[in-house]
Amino acid sequence: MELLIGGLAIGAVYALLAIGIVLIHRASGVVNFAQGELMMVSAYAYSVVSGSVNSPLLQLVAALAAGAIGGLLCFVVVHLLLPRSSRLAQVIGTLALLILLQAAARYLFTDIPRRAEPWIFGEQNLEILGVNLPVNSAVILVVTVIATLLLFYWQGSTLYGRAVRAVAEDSWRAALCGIHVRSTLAVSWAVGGMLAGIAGVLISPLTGVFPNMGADILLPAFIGAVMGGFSSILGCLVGSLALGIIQTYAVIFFGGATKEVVIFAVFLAVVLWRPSGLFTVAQTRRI
Amino acid sequence: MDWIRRHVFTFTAITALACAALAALLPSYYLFQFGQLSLVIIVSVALTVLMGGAGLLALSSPAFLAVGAYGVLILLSTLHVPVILAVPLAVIAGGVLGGILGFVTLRLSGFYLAIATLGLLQVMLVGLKFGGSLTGGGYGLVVPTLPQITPGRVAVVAVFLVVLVIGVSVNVMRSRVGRAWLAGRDNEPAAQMQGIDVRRMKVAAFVYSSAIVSLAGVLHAFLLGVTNPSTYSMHLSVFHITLVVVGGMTGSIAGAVIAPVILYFLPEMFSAIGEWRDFFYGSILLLTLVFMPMGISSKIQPLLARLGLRARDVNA
Repeated sequence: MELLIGGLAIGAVYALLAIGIVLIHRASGVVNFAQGELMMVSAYAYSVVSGSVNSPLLQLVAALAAGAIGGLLCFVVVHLLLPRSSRLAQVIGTLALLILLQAAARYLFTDIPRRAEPWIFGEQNLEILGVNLPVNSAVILVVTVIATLLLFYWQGSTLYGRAVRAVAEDSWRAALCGIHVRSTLAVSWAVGGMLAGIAGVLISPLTGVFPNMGADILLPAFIGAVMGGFSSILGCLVGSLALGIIQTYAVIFFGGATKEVVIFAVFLAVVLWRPSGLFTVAQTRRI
Repeated sequence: MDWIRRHVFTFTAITALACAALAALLPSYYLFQFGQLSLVIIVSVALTVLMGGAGLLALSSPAFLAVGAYGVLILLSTLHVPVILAVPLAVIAGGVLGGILGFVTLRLSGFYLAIATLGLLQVMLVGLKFGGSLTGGGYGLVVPTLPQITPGRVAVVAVFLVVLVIGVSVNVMRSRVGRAWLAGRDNEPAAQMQGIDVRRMKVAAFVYSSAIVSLAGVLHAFLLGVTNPSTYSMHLSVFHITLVVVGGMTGSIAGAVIAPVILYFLPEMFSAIGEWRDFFYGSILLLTLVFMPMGISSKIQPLLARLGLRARDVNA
C-alpha cells in the first residue's frame, strides 16, 4: 500500500510535467525539452523562498511565478526569437534553454543538492486504514488531481480557455475569429510552466533540489506525454500514474538500476502497441 | 576537376593518405590535438547527414560513441578478439543498433525519435554504470596495452579516417540516396509520390550515421586510453547538436567540417572559459539559430562556388 501510494505520487509528478508538455505541444506544435528545467527552476525558487518565509501560500506563489516566468522565457525564444524557423530549429532552441538554465543553476547553486521541506504539512505521517503514509505523497496526489480538474474546467468551460484550444487547433482561423493568437500562445506556455512549477514544489522534498533534476525526469515525463498521444490530458494523467507504479515496483523487485530500462521498455511498448496514445482514437496523420 | 569527379573514391583515398602522412610529421602534442579534432569532425559530419540531410533530431550520439568505445574494448579484453576484427565489429554493432532504433520509432513522427534517442542514451548510461566487470562500472574500462596501438598512430589513423568519412559523406549526399534524404526532409508526401521509400531512407540515414559515430567512439577510446560513463552525458549530445547547427542544418558537409574547427579550438584558446563551457555552447547554439539559421554553410557556399568547387545547392 505504501508502495502503491509512493508510485502514484511519483507518477503524479510525471503527469504534471507531461500535461505541461502536451499543453504546450498542442498550442504551438513544439515539444518542449526545457520542461524539466522549468521544474528545476521552480524547485530552486521554492527552496530558496521557503528558507526565509514561512507562509505556504507565498512559497507556492514563488514556485508558480518561477515556472510561469520560465515558460514565458521559452515562449520568447520559440515564438519571438525563432518565429519563422522550422519546428526542428524551435525544438533545438528549447534544448539550448535546457543547457543554459542548467548551467545557470549550477553556477548559482553548485551541484550539491539543497534540501527542501515538504509543502504545508512538513514531514508528518498520516494513518489511513491502518497504513502509515507520508502526508507529502497524499498532498502530491490531491494537488495533481486538483490541478488537472482546474485545467479541464479552464479549457472546457471558460471563454478564454476555449480560445486557447481554438488557437491550438487552427491558429489562422482563430485569428480570423478575433483571437489574439500570440498572447494565447504565451498563456499556454506560462500555464505549462506553472504546472512544472507545481511539480517542482511537490518533488523537491523527495529528491532534493539539484541542477540535473529536470533532465533526469524529462524522459518519464515525455513517456507520459506519449501515452496521452501528445494530445489527451486524461491519457497523460492515467499513463503517468501507471508509469509511476510500474517503475516503483520494478525498482523494488529488480533493483534500482532497472528504473531507466523499465521506463524505456514501457515507452517502446506504448509506441509499438498504441502509438497514438492510450485513450485517443487512432487517426490518420495529417499531411 | 573532371578527373576528380570521375574518380571520386580514388581521389578521396589519395587525399586521405596524404593528410595522414602530413599528420605523421607533426610533433606529438599537435598530432594528438589533430587526432581529437578529427574525432569531433567525424561525429559532426555523421550527425549533419542525419539531422541536416535527413532532418532527424537525435540526442543519442553519445550512446553510439559509447557503443563503439565499450564495444571494441569488451571485444578486445574480455573476448580476446584481434584488433583488426574488433574495430569493424564495434562499428557494425553501432550501425545495427541505430537501424533497430530507427526502425522501431520511424513509424511515427519525428519527435518520437528524439524521445527514443534520449531514452536510449539514459538506458545506455545505466547499463554502463551497472554493467559490473563487463563495463567496469563508474570507473570505466582501460585500453589493454597492445604493441601496435600508440596514441600517435591512432591520431594518424583518425586523420586518415576523417578525410575518408568526409569524402564518402560528400558523395553519399550527392548520390541518389542523399537526394532522397533531402527530398524526404523537405516534403515527405511529395517524396513518396516520387517513389521514394521515405521510411527505409530514414532508417538508412540512421544506420549510416550511427555506424560512423561508433567508429569515432572506437578511435576515442584508443586515443585517450580509457573510457568511462561520465563522458557520454546529455551535455555531449547538445554539444554535438551545436556543431551541426553552427555548421548548418542543410546537409552541407563543408559546414560540418568547419564548425568543429571553430568550436573546438575557440575554447582551447580561451582556456579561462572552464566552467563557462555550457553557457558558451548554449549561447552559441541559440545565437546561431536566431541569426544564422542556415549556419556557416550558407556563408561558405558562395565561396566554394567561386573556387569552382560548387557543392550542389542543397537549399534550392
